[in-house]
Amino acid sequence: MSTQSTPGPDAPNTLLFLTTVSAMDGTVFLLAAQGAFSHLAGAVTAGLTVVAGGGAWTTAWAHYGGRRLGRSELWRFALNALLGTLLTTLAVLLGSTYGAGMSLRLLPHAAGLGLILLGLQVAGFRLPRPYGLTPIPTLLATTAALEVLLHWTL
Amino acid sequence: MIGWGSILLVTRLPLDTMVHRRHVQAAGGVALALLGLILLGLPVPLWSPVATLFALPALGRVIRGRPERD
Repeated sequence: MSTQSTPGPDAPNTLLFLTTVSAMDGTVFLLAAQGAFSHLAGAVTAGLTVVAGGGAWTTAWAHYGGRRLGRSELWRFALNALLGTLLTTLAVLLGSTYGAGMSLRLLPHAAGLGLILLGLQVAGFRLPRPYGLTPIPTLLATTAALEVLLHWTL
Repeated sequence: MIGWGSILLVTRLPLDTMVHRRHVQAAGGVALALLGLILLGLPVPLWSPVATLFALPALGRVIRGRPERD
């Protein structure tokens, strides 16, 4: 997922993080559970906004753009691309296999709100951090706990 | 694969001379927010995040002109 661009020697790690964080924080899982990857338009939209997007593009552009890459840099790029693709594919498979069978009531709304907050952050707005907590993971974790509680009690 | 393909494409294009970097980042933010609205169930067309990603930097170029290296 795309957050801020931090070009420099650490850019390959940043790029890998930006492109895999959506697979790990549950966004890709939820999108797959809602059937977003079952048609090409949804897959393209998710690929260009959630997996790559503004932050990943500007990071890649600042680090790799406009110059010839050495062999080791090419290998690193290919390895990152492979790892990122594998993680995203795994999240899509899990989401479309297990997520579709689950009746999620709260999490899709939380993921939607999380994406809006992330979008604001990427666009340059500074989000408040109540009690020092980062808002998006806190929102998703709290909602996941509430979702589990809801399944147990109802 | 679509995401990494787009990243590969971005590194091969002379984007520094085409669009402003800050506009691309802002467009990425707006696209994510639109996807969030879709996930919330609002009637936002599925093509709008991708259209935003390309249209906003293009609009920025029209308004602000050709970018210097920013």
